Amino acid sequence: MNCLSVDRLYDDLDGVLTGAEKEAVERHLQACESCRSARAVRGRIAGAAADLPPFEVPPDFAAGVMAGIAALPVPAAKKLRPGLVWTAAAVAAAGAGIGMGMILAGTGTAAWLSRIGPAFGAQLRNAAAFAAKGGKLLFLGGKIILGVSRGVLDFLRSTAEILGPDGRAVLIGGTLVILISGGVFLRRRLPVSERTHEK
Amino acid sequence: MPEDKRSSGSDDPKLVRRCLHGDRKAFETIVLKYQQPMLNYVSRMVREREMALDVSQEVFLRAYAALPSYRSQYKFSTWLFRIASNYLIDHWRKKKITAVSLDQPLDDAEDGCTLQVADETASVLLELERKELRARLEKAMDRLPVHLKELFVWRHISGLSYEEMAEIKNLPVGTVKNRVFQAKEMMRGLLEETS
Repeated sequence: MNCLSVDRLYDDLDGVLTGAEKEAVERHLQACESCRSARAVRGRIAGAAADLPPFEVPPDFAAGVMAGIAALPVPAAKKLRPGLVWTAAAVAAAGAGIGMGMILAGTGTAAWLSRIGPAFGAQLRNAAAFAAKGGKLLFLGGKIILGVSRGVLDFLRSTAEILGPDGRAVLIGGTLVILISGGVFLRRRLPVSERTHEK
Repeated sequence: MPEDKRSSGSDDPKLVRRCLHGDRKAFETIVLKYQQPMLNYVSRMVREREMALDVSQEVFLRAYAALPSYRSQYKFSTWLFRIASNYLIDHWRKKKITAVSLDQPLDDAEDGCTLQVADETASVLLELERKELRARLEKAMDRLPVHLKELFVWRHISGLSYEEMAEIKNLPVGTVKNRVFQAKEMMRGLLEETS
């Protein structure tokens, strides 16, 4: 006779077995003293755990919590960022304006698009020219930054050669001290994190 | 969670919305509704009455501050228990409480139990046995590793379903079932040791 697995016994105690499964388990339990005993023990433990007395809640517990909450700000639901709201409003207004224009013009969408086509094309060309100029400006800026960086590096290289190994060590040490001091100073001056609701 | 252990949570999202509109009374309703299951759980986990009260109060304060992050598609009770569970993990981490190793072998002998069935007719003896078993159960629970103890408490004392526990711990239901099984068998082993 194959005895029931412990898993099966727990499933039976949890009441998750189907009708046929439960019948099979009961049939086996009637015939098997070992499984009957194993199930009884586990059932008693679960029963005893469920029977443990509940915690006696002091009558003023909720009042204590509410007193703590009185000191806290009302938790605000997450709001949309004003910028996002304004952008959405502007897009909606533009859409409404176009729609109104179309209605007032009394034309269909295709006719309306063909009418605004040339004007829209001109705007698109202007925007492309503007973007190209912006790109050129960025390229020039990058070139200048690269030139300056190269100059600084050359200066540092020649200084390091003049100073020799000891001088270089002093220079690196000094730089590190300045950087660390700066970091510590900024950490003290600037709030790193907001501490809220901490006891 | 069974109805006899806790009332329905269907009006919780409404209460949360009222809280977010500044109605503190609505949060008091939430506290009154969940204080008993919360303290049942926390008191079994920390074992000291005053500490259980302090921890539970802090959990409610944290829940209040975190209300904007609550999503109504989830059960409020599981959201609240998750806050409590995370708080307790932090609490133990700070106190550096070590858990019993899971490598400890479990005695899986099914017929080796020494708990005796009390005589059904002798009700006084039966009651005495129940009381004794409850006391031993409390002691044995303290010897469980905290992560198994938590699941045991949720399953047998709070009456949470495997699905609810899985949601709280963000674990697959199968993993939770497996751990609850481990917890129950370890409890049985510990009870046998003390009998």
